[in-house]
Amino acid sequence: MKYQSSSYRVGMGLHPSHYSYLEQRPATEVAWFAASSEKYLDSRGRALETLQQVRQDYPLALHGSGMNLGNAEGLHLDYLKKLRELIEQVEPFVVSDHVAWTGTSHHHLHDLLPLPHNEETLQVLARNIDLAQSQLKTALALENIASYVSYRSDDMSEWEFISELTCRTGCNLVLDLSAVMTNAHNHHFDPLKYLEHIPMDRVVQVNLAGPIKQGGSLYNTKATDVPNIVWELFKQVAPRIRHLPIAIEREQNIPEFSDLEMDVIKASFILENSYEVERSTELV
Amino acid sequence: MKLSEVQNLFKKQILAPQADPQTITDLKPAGHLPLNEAFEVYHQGYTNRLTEALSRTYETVLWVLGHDLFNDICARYIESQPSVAFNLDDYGSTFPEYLVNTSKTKGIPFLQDLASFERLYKEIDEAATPNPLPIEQVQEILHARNFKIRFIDAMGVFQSMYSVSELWKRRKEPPYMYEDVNWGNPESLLIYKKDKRVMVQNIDPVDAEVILELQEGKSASEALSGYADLMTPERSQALFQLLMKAGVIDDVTL
Ligand SMILES: [Fe+2]
Repeated sequence: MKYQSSSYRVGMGLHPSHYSYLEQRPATEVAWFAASSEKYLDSRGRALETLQQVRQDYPLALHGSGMNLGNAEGLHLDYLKKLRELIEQVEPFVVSDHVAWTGTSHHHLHDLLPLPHNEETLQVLARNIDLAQSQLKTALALENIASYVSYRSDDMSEWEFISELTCRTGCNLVLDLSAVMTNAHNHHFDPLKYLEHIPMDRVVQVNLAGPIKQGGSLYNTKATDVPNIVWELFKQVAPRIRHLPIAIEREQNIPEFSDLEMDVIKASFILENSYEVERSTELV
Repeated sequence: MKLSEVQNLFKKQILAPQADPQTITDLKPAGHLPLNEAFEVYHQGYTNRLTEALSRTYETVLWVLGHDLFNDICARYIESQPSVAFNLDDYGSTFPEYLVNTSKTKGIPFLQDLASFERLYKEIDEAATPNPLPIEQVQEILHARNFKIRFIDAMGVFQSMYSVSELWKRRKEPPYMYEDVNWGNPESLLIYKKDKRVMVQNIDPVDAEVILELQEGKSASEALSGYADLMTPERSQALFQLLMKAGVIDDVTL
């Protein structure tokens, strides 16, 4: 029997190294999968076929890293057209990308790069998001990123910027708690302050991953298990997000399916525990 | 500074980490992390991601060269070839040609062919699972005097002066000297998808030529005419049986 009750919906990323396992349609503790959109845009073979099979058994989110919403030169219509086709095929419950730029129009840098938090960027993002949503005929959710530099032209904090962006675009949010933790550490702010100031009612998905500490800084490499500092933050916000889909994210050093599944189970336990804590508090 | 200018400078800095990030006057360090260290993170991330993408596609080339030499060659290739595809996994379509032109490969003769083979394998793996014409229907038509064959998308013929498939079969083994593998014989391969699996089958070089001509759209009698002395009626039948059993025939027209 699956551990997860309907209230605690913890999923994880869909990784090519797990295709063979998932093709056997095993019973898993995973409530849903997040698929990296770009991997499937040009595929007609195994990747897309596995995605379609997984979709028959699980809800699916499409999480992109290549829309390049922060590109001052605008968006690729070809990318949006292919994503639209993919959305029609797999009917995801959320389509998301990042508050970031990922290259210029003719050179993909395959990284989530930080944007200045100012009026010009808000206008670029709003224009690009408007185009994306009209082409995709789907609402977009936006995820926060980790950053290792900041800009002199910032004239608001990251949480003010994210709040203003949701206000202007009507977009929902995907909350990456590991990126919040990373930025709080590197840019010296309190992660709880960040969470207090973003519009939590717009959050539709929460991601957990593994930043690593090197020297005095945190790097959101998503290459390790979810570390204690992120679990601690997750426990603190659990009562506020336990109704939301939660994802265990991993981008590098993809382990066995069962290893990631352990983090899925752990997240489900924490969510259930957060309910118990709150109920006992009410009784007192 | 306009956002587009900032982004172009930022990009240059990621690609050339030896440049001075102070030139991007709009940037400041995050906390204690100096700008040059931050850019080293972005530069390394870029190089590592593309190198990993190349190592997934060109797994046997990596096996032959070893990590140090492979990474070194990738770093130079990445410097010379910007990534233009959304999907990281599509990076490196020109890597086989690059391998010929770099002196770094120390004259390993089969490297370009091996890389081209791995690229073709990837393309076939990414093609849709085929739905070939049922054997009974093919058989009926193959008895006709002349016909044209349309092949499934997930099929390719690969010809080389070297036994690249011998090297490829060993790619999962622990690294040892590639000289120990018998790679010196020419080979012709039929690579195709059967159900969801990619098959690699050694075929006769003349059969390979005929298949390539059929693939170009020539009729069976046109394709066979250039090899009349070699392709007896029995051998021709055997070739069509092979194609039929492999399940690579999408359609046959009279
Ligand atoms: Fe993400």
